[in-house]
Amino acid sequence: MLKSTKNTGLYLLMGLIAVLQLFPLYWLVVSAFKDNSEIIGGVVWALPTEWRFSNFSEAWVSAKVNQYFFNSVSVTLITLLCVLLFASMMAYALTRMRFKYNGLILFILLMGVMVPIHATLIPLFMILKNLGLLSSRLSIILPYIAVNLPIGVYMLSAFLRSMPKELEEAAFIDGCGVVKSFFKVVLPLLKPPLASVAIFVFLAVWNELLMAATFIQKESLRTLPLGLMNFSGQYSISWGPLAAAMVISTLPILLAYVLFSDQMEKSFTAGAILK
Amino acid sequence: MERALSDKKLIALFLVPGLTIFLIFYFVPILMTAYYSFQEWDGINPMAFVGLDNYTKMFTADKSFWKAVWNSVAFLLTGVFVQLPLSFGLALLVSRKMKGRKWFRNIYFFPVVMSTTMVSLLWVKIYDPNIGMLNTLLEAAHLGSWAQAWLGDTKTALLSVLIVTTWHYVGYNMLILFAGIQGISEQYYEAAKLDGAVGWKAVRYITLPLLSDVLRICVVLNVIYALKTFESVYVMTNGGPLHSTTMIALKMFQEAFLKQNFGYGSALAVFMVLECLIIAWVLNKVLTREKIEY
Repeated sequence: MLKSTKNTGLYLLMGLIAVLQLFPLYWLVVSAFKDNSEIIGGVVWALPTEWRFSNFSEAWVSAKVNQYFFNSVSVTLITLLCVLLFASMMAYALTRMRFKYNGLILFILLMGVMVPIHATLIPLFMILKNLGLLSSRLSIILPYIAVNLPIGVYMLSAFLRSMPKELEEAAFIDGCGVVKSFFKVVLPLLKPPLASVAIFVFLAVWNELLMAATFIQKESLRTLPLGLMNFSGQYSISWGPLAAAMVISTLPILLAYVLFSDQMEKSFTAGAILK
Repeated sequence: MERALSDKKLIALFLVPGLTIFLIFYFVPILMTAYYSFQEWDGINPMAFVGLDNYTKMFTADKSFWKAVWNSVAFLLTGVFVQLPLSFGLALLVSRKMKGRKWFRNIYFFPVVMSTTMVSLLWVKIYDPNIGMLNTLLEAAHLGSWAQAWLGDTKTALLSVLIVTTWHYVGYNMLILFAGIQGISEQYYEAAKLDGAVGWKAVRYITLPLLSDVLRICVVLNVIYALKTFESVYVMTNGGPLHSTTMIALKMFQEAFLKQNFGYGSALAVFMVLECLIIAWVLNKVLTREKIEY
């Protein structure tokens, strides 16, 4: 009897906190279907009287969210592929190959984990300007790769160090060279830590604003966070379409979270402990 | 195999692509920032070496710098003394073996994966005096007199921003602490039960001491996140009103890319890095005590 009252109390408390965490998001979603008069005059938690999908089409086409979305997707994908490939190659070299400057390279990479990106911004701007990259997508892709490589290398090398070498040795005996055994044997075995790194990089890049705001000079290259920020400045009066744009840009993250929530939690905990 | 793995050409092939990008687009810029911080430079005309002038200006002449330092302290204290205890409470809640605990954990954690830009834009609208839901809710609760422009008033702006970051990140520490709590063996609790330690006593004498390493990680993470804060104030207030929510990172951004003071902006960046590294190092020293073993 006592136990069940206690449990009900706990459920109430947890439910209340869940409402606190979810209510702003609920408000965002219902606002995305309302017009201003309904948002200002209506009841905050009420469902829209009419589901205005036009807000979404207005955001998607007139506010160019389609373009920002495409930019975010392409920047994220290219960064992701490069980080995964380069980080696993580096991790492989650092854990399996024999050379002198192993420790030095790990130390230099550690600087990348420790020193915040803010400390690179001003010179990076100059470097990108001098390379003539400021009007291209590469102006954020290259820094994004650089920022995310160290954490990838550290996570992957930790995994490789604990992985037995027998399979690679067997591949050598079968006549595979280093390159072939890396792609055929090592990479497939790296799948679990690669998934962690991929989630980490996906979220970091998809959500990044500081570098995007600094290096993206062309309107047509804006990623979602930057595009939405400017959108909110221009259309400060109509909240519905902006809410729709925000819902659209959060959907991929929600989708990823629903599909891979366990993996995501693992990758966040691993990333935290590394820092 | 040994010989193949010491082949210089192969080693280079594996290291060069990643390392080149990292060196050019991260490592070298860090060193250049340090160099720029001793120069006066508008990005176009030649640099002029000015020694420590930028740092003197920062510590003595620039009043909003101290405002930014004070705000960082407010972020830091909120992170450690408000957000972390809340996260710990949540972690304890979701660690109880009850039905649906995974759902609750997922709900509490979800805001963490959303972008700071999105969360900040959302809260700008929540706080908005005309369309925002906060004032509407207050009026519905007959607290209409409390309604105001939350982000537009020097008295409430900082607090309003702090509430948003706490809302956004409370699930992050919860998750780390939850993982830590899962790692504590049942045996300890069973042994404690025999000694009469249940409920809060078990938390005080078993969970907390055994989590000390994880708690240390959380403290350091929160402090560094607080000191680096940029996006939320950039989006929500742009540092205003009257610098009441400005941060070092935001000042650096504004000095460099709005006022073209690249030298001074770099000095601010150097200050921020040193501040982060030194505080993290000190915290790690101070908070590392002898390992507790039972």
